[in-house]
Amino acid sequence: MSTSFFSATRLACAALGLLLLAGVTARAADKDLKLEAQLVVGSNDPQPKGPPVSPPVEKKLKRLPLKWGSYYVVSSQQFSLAKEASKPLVLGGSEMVVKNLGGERVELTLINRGKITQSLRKDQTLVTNVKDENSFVVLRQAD
Amino acid sequence: MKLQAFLDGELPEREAREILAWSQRDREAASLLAELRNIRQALAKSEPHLSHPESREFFWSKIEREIQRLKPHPVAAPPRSGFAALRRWLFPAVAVSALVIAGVIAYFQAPTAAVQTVADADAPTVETTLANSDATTYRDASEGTTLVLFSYATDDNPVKKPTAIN
Amino acid sequence: MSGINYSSADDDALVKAARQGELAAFEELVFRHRDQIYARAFSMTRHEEDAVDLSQEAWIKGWQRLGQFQGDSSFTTWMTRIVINLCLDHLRKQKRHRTDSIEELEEDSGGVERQMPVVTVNPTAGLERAELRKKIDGALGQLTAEHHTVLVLHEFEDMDYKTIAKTVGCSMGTVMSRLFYARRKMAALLADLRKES
Repeated sequence: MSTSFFSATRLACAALGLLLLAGVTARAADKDLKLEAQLVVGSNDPQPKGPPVSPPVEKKLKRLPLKWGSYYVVSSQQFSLAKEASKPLVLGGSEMVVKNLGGERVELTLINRGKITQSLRKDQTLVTNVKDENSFVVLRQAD
Repeated sequence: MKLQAFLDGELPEREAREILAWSQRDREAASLLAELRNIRQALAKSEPHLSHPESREFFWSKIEREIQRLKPHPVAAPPRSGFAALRRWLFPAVAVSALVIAGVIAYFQAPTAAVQTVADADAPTVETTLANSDATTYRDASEGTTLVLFSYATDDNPVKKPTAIN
Repeated sequence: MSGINYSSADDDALVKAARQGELAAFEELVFRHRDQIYARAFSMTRHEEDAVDLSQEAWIKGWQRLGQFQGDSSFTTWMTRIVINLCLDHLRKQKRHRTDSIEELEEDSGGVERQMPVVTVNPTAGLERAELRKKIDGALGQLTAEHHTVLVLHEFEDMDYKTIAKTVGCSMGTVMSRLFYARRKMAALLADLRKES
């Protein structure tokens, strides 16, 4: 009887450990998402009209099929979103809403334009154009 | 101001009759009453019509966000006794652990399928709102960048033809 | 999702659904009446940004207080009262930080309106409705907050002196003198505008 008891206990502990691991992973996926939304403007002017984007963002933007040689930041804001929470923004003349869908997925709705749903892990960046000329919104997880 | 109160129907009947009689005798009172009446009539049919400056969706998104934020949070149930809690964990833990083990084994046996699943999850879903608008998507998988370009009616935002993206 | 087509439901049905927690029904109410509520907020504050914020706050309060809406008045009348009260609170807070001009002090104490010559010719006669609306809007913008408030409440909300006094938090005498001044000032402004054109 004691043998079967220890076997059951070992099994239960193993199962508990795995369950806790699964729980931790699930909680990590549902944690608040700290995001950064930047309004950047593309330019070929040797004298940029604002502070340049950070090197990692510059590297990403330059690999895109856009004609601009450099990008500078017009505005930047950081915010935290709980799962299912959303935040309205106005950037570059466009109204938009960012929503945390959970599991590091976001939904970016550009009012009267469209909606983008995709994963936004720490290594991912979402870029979309806005109403103002040569302007883009760069959305990523904040450092 | 008695003339005004008369005009607005705020005087008792007797006083209203006296003011009316006075305005018919006195030219200045009659002029003032006419002025007040003209303005009142002009305002009555001329309230400025205004449209809300923000789009419907944007305005509603702000309201909805605040309503959700102000929602009362559910009160957590008090914890039960330690042994009862442990017992509650044990039986579902055994069932879940079996599933998790099975999943892990399946994952390591099908690496290609797992990578494909991750890659598909990274692909954006794009919907356009307007029937005659357009969206073009570019993905740079190595940098983890997604570019979505929406067409704008007055857009002259030049986009060079997409080159091969690694 | 309840499957109801909210766009074709009347306000009573929408209010009923919203009281049961149907946010989509409340969204339809917001869509239908947001211009009206915004317009009232703008006419009280004469400031677009404040009017947007206050009308937004009014809708949120409306949602929170739906249980208190008895149906004695229309839903829009009830919502209008909410936004009016918010605007008045806002104006009171602003007044505490504002330095009154001498003219405003004289207006409040009464007497300035008696010095204005009577406008004998109807300054709005012959104007197209759209033009009249534009001129009135311009003239309203030149009144102080206290004066355009009583004018809006009396002329556009059909409140009597007693109700205005209670809503604004002043005496009936103050309501009457502010209304008198506001009307006389409007007549003078409109007459000036007519001369210019």
